Amino acid sequence: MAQIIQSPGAYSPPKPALATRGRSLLKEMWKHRVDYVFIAPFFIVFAIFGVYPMVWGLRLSLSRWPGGQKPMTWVGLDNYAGLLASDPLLGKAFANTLMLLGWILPTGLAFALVVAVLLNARRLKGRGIFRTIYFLPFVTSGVIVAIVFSQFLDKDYGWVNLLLGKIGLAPVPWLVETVPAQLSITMLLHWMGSGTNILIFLGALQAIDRELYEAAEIDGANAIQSFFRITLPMLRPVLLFMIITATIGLINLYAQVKLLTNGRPENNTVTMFMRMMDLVASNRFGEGAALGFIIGAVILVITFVQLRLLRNWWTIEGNLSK
Amino acid sequence: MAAVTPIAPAPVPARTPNRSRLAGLARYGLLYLILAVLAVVFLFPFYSMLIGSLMPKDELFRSYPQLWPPHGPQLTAYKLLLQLASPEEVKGSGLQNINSYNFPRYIFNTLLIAAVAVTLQVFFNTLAGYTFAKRNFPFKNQLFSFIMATLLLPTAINFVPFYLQVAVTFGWRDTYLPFWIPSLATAFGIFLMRQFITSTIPDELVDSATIDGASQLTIVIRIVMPIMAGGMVVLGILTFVGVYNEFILTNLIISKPDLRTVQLFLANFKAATIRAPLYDLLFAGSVMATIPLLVIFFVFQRKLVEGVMSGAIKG
Repeated sequence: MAQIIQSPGAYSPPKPALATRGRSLLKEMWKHRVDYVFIAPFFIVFAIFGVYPMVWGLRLSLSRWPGGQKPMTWVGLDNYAGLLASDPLLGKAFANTLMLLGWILPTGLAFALVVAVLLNARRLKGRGIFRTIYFLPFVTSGVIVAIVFSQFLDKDYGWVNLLLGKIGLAPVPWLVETVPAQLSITMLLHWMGSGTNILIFLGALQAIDRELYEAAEIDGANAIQSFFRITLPMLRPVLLFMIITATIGLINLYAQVKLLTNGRPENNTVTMFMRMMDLVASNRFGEGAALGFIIGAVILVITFVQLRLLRNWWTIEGNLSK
Repeated sequence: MAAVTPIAPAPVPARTPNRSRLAGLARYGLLYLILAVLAVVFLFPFYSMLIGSLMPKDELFRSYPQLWPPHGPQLTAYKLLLQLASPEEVKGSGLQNINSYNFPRYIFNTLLIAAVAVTLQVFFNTLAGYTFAKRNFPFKNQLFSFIMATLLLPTAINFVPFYLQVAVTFGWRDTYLPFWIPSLATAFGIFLMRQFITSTIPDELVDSATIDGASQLTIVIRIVMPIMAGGMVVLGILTFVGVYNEFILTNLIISKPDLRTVQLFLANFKAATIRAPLYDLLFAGSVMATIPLLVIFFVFQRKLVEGVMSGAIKG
């Protein structure tokens, strides 16, 4: 031992080398200090408003705190246990959110894809005009959309029931009963969000080389075959991106539903984010923070499952085409 | 004329292309029909909002829905919101305290919040986007990957503590700082600007400016930003629309009546009149709130559409 300590000389050569490397790295970084200053705002803001609340929120989620000057009491996992085991609405909110996700996501993406394929027709004139019209709802806010749709879907004075009456159908209690209320939310979200999805799909479609289709046509493929063998595989990266962003968007759904149905009837349209905001509104901050982490975990799990499924689809398709 | 002979049957080879052209025409006819019906569906809510805002309340509820106001368009709802209504009109509005709402002020507040947010975000994101696109420095890739990874963080995770932090710890309740400071520079904005700068600004341009001794800030402001105007417009509009339409955070932060945004006003107004919604006022307010966005939309439509279309593909 003593010998080793006494003979640092044997190890001295790498030391200066390490030090110089470290020093030269520091020097290099100092030389680029302006670059670091330019990118610094994001990191500063993220540390203060992203990381810090998350760490503090973890502690908050393990405490009971009614806000103000009142003390924060440590309650361990009580908030999580209470929410998961006995919250009267969370189960419903979770089921509602999953159900919205389960049908709005596939129907919305399929609809947008079909419209984008139609708009991509080669000799179509006025493509720009249609594109713009479908994208127009992008400028409306969740609040305004909810106002317009609540009048649209009004049982007695609304457009939709008037139209149904004109073709001899009975009026539907849109915002009053469970399934019609869920359909109302679906219509609202499709109207509001399809334009963006159509644009993204259209951009991706236009990036596909036309020669691929021409080659397929020469080989005798029909339109449906080329769609499933060329279009869909080429759209995979975009599709993946859209599925993940749409999932996050739907789980964070709040303003539209809050103002259109406010959870009615019987809390059958309450979403998870709405439940969290209700906890905040009633000063149950500890539970609100805990629910935030639960929602985050749900998003992570769903995203992970989606990635898994899509990767499988990827390889299955890849094997088939071989 | 009687001499006109019956048309001879067309020669067989000519027939096939003719018929396929007809089929093509029919197919395109059907395509236009579908697209036009969809266009009506997408436009109709805007139309019904506009028409509803031009009808007095009692007409709305007696004879609605109508494609055209039975007694011609009336501007009463607009006058009420802009505090230009006569006392009789105020009396008939069903809302005696209508003049306690300062609608123009709410529009101004919203525009102010959005304009400052756009300026800050476009500037700082372009700065960072340029640095990641054109500069080389230690840990660049790691830092960029980190920024991209933060995009995957769900908002819900820290929403409650974030709200408490800005409202309570920082005391920013009833100020607009929560809409400006925390989103000064965003992961999405940096990503978007980096994409635009990589694909539009040649390295040589930056290099020659560097050799001429221009400072980095000068390069960004004098060379990058003018060329990047298109990309900055795209980010600016996306930011503007997002901030202008924000509701969740506004609802928690703003409680002073004078500081209300137009979205907050409309939402509160709808909630307050839930039993008998004053749709004439709600629609007139919605129309006026949407006009600034529609103007921006149509002025920059092409840039915006291209931005949304290309941004996602590269992502």
